[in-house]
Amino acid sequence: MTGAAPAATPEPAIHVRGLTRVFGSFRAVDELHLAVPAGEIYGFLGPNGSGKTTTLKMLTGLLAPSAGEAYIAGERVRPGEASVELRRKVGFLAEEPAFYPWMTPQEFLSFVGGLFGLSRSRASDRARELLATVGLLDRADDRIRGFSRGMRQRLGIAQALVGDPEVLLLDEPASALDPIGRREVLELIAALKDHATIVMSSHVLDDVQRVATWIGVISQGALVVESPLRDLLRRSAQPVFQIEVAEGRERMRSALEAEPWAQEVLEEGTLLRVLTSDLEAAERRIPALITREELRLVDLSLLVPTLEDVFLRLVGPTGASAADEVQAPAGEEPA
Amino acid sequence: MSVLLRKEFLELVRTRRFLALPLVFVFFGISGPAVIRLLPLLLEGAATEGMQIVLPETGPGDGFLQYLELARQLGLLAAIVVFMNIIAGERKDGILAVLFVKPVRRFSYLAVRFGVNGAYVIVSMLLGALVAVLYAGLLLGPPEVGAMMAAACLYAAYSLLVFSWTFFFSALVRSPAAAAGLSVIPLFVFPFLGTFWAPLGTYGPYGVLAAGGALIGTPTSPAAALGVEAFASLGLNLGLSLLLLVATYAALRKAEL
Repeated sequence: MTGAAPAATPEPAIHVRGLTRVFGSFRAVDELHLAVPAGEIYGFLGPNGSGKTTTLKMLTGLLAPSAGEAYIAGERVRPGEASVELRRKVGFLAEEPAFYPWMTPQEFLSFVGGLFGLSRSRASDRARELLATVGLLDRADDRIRGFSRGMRQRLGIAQALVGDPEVLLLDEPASALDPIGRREVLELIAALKDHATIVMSSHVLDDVQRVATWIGVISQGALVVESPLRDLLRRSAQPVFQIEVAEGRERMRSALEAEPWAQEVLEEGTLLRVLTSDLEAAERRIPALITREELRLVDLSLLVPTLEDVFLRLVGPTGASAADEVQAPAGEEPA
Repeated sequence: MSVLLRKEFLELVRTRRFLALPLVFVFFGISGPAVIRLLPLLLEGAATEGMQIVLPETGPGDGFLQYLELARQLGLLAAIVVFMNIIAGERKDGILAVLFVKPVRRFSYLAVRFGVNGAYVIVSMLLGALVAVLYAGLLLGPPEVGAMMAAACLYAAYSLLVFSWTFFFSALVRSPAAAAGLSVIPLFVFPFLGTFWAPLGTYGPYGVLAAGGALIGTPTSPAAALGVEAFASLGLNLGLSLLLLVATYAALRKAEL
C-alpha cells in the first residue's frame, strides 16, 4: 500500500502528519497523513486491524504516537493530560462505550457536564436535552446497568456531545447494532453534521455510504485514499452504460457498434452494456441513436459502483494501483 | 472538583461499598471483646475432668487489643479486596478512557478518589474501634476511652498506608487480582522487617501499631505513654501515603488507555 498525500483543503478540522505508532515490532499506524475538512462527515475506513482505533486514540491523546503529529482545530494533540484544554473541543465515542453502571443516564451526563465546567442546573438541563436528542429521555432515571448495546451506543454519543464539541470522533458507532439501532444511530450522526466535524471509523461500508461526505481509507496503518465520497465514486466508475429498449435490441446493438467510442457491446438478457472510451460522447450520442433508430427507451444508466466495490478495489490485491487511479488530485475542494 | 466529589460519594452509596468496610470493622469491634469475655467459659466447657486451666486476668484493654489485632489482619485484608479494582477496574472497563478524554486533570481525579476512599477506610476503622470500646466496656469493665481511641487513630494511620499502596498497585497494574496480590505482600512483610532490624520496627510504618498497642493497659501489662518514636512512625505513615498518591499519579500521568 502507498501512503498517499492528503488532499489539501482550507483549514482542515483535523490535520495528521506522518502519524506512526509502533507496538513492539508491529507498525499499527505507519506515517499516516490525513486532512479532515471542517463540517464534513468523514468516513474513516479500513479492514479490521488496519489502525483505525489506534489512530483515533492518538487523536484523543489516549495513546502517544511513536512519530508524527496531529492537530485538531489548529491545536496540536499531545498525549496524556497535556491536551486537557483541547478536549473541550473534542467528543469521543469508543468502540465499546463505558459508563458507571450504577449511575442513571441523567446522572452520568450531568457528571460529564460538570467535568466540562457546567453548573449543576445547566449540566442537568444539558443532560435532558441530549437524552431527548438520542431518544433516551424515557429511560433517563433507569440505571445504565440494564441498558442494551444500542442504548449504550446512543448514550455514548450523548456523552460525546455534552461539551458541544467542534470535532466528534466516533469509533465504529454502529457496527454492533441491529438494523433498527443502526438506522437510528446513523440518522443521529447525519443530523449532527451541522454542529460538528465528524470522523466515523467503520468497516461497515453501507453505514458509511449512508452518512459520510468524505472518505479516508487506510490499510496496514497507511492512508490509501482520501477524497470526497461523491468524487471517489465518480472516479471509480467503470465507463459502462446499461441500456434497455422495448424492441429492436439488435438494431440498437448494431448502431452502438458503429460508434467510434464504443469499445465493447455486450448483451445480458434484455440489457445492452456498452463499454465506452469517451464518457461524454457516449452520454451525448446514446439518446440520439435511440431517437434515430426510433426505439422506445426503457432504461439508460451509467453503472455506478458502491463504496464496497471501491473499498475492495483499494484494499484488495490490486489496491496500490487502484488507489492511484481514484486518489483526489491535490488541492481539490471538499464536495 | 466538587463534581468528582459528588461522584465518589454517590459511588460509595450506589455500590453499597459504604456498608462493606464499616460492617467488617464493626463485626470485629463486637467479636474482639466477645472472644476475650467468652474464652474462659469456652475453655472451661472444653476441659476434661481433673484438668485445671489457669488463665490470666483479662480486662477491657484485652478486648480492645483483640479488636485491633483482628482489624490489622483481617480488616485490612478486606480493605485490599474492596479496593483492588479502584483504578485497575475502571481502566479495564474503559471508564478511565471515557473520563480522560474529557477536560479533567488526572491528578484531580486521583486526589479526590484517594481522599474520599482513604477517609472511608479511616472512618470504618474508627467506627469499629468505637464499637469495640463500648462493647469492651459492657462485657469487661470500664474502658480507658481516650487511650483506646488514640491507639485506634495510630492504627488508622497504618490503615491509610495500606489503602494507599493498594491504590498505587491498582494504578500500576491492569489486573485487579494482580493489584490485590501485590498489596498483600507488604501487609505481611512489614511485621517481619521489624524483627530483623529493630529501628524499622519502632520508627517504620509498623511502629504505630506497637505504640498503639502499648497505649492500652491490661491487668497483666500496664499502659505506656506515647514516645517520640510513635510520632515518627505516624509521620512516616502519613508521608508515605502522600508519596504513594504522587507515585500513583506518576504511574497514571502518561498511561495509555
